[in-house]
Amino acid sequence: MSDPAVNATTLNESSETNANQKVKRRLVRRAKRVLLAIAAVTTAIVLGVMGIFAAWLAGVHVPIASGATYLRVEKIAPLTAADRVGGGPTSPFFILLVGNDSRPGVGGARGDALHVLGVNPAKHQATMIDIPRDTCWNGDKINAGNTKGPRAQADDVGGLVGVQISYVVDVDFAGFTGLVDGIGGVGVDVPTQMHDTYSGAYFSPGLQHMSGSQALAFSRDRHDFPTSDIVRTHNQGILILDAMRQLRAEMQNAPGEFKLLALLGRHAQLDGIGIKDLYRLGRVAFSLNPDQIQNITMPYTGGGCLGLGAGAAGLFADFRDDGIVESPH
Amino acid sequence: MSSVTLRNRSFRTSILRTSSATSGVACVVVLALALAACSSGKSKAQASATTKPLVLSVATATLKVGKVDIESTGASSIPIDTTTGKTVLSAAQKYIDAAVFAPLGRGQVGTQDYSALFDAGVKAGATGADEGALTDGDVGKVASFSAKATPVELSALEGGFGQLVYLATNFDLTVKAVAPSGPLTLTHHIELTFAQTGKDWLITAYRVQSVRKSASSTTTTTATGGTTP
Repeated sequence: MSDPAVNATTLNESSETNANQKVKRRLVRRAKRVLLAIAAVTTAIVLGVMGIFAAWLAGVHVPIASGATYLRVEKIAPLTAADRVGGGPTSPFFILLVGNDSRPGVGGARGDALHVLGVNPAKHQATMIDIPRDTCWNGDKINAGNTKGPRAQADDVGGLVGVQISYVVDVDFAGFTGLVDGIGGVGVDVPTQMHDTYSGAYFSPGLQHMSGSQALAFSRDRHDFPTSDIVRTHNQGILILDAMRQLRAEMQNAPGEFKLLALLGRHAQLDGIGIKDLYRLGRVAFSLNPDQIQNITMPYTGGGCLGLGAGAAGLFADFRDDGIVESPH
Repeated sequence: MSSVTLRNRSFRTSILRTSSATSGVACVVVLALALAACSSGKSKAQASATTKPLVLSVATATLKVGKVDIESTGASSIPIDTTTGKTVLSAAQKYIDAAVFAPLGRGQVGTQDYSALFDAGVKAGATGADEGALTDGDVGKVASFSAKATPVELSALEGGFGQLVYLATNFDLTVKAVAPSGPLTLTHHIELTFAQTGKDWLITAYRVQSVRKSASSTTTTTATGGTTP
């Protein structure tokens, strides 16, 4: 005969053991669920980051930057396979460089500095045509196009010159200043005395090393010149070529190239263009000798809203056929 | 004529100090360079495949890593992973084996090995117009040679998430040779930029300057190539 007390104790112990096991199983199940959830979240984050990186490499605009946005680079017209021989384009292509006037208190981002760089990869030559901002186009000043975005500005300038713009590089006041400071300043060969309180440009003729704000003042000064924006536009061209000259000297090896690319990667908003495209574009641009790049201001006529001057049509025709101007101008 | 002596390449281990020019933050990368695992096997294969002595003596150079520079489009950079570092260094070694040592030792560029190193964007130039400057194919077979290479400077461009976009090798290679016409000194400054294509790291851009000096003449060639947009 069994002892009921012992049985009860045994049963109770058994029951407690069962209860403990249930609790343990529950805890194990819960731990498994938590681990599974962590694994799922981690996988999602890893896949997401990989996806964003792949998109960024491929040139899809990713609104993530590790630094302030200095400039925007947009690919407008992709080069076709027919343009490529041995992996590179042999046809000329055109880049529009835009300095817009967007700054605190001034909205709109009008294209106040407009420069079309024609590049001929086969001949390793280039020409830059400076377009005065007050040039008339479709009943308005041409710089108004940029208020609708770089693509609209590219359409307007491309329409005026008769070329298809492939890339637009757009920079505002703050971005320009940050960019120039980012490359350690720029050496500019100042052509004439400058003393302008409006822009803050105070320079003597000759080579001057400029900070970002000084370079901005130099490229904004128009009050020192009787032809105002026309000389300013040409001076902007001088600054661009001097900057190219400086960057080219620093980009003669991979570390120099990567340093500039890293700066652009941190501070450029890339639309339709990836960091690899930027590298390849840089290799082409900096294979050109800036000393051999002509800086030509578009011939103009009139005042206020400017018309095309004598020789402008011939200049554009010479420019559009191969990206470079060979005829006297 | 004495027999061919091919020097086996030894394992080398380098402790590398990495510096980022922009951040100024130094980080240390350790690359255990097991080059011999692949390249010494090749040397043996070359030696055993040779039925006749081709040259009096050959002393090739084995590349090892020197300075490392990492630029990043992100807030900070991370060290180059060992596998990728070894892969790219091995590819640079294959380049000098095929472009420099093969023509000097056997009289012709190691064509298959050489062309396989380049991506589609630069292959046409590297095997066409630039081949004369990128290789010593025009120098031809010499009686003997010895080579020395400077440590390879590695430069990297990383994406915002630390992924490697480009990895470049930069080094000088000096070869002293005895040709039928007399002594030769060949000095190559070699910069190869690699990008990943599938699983492979292939040359996507190059800058190679070569000075070839003999008793009677000195010629300088430069080849610059890159995949353009």
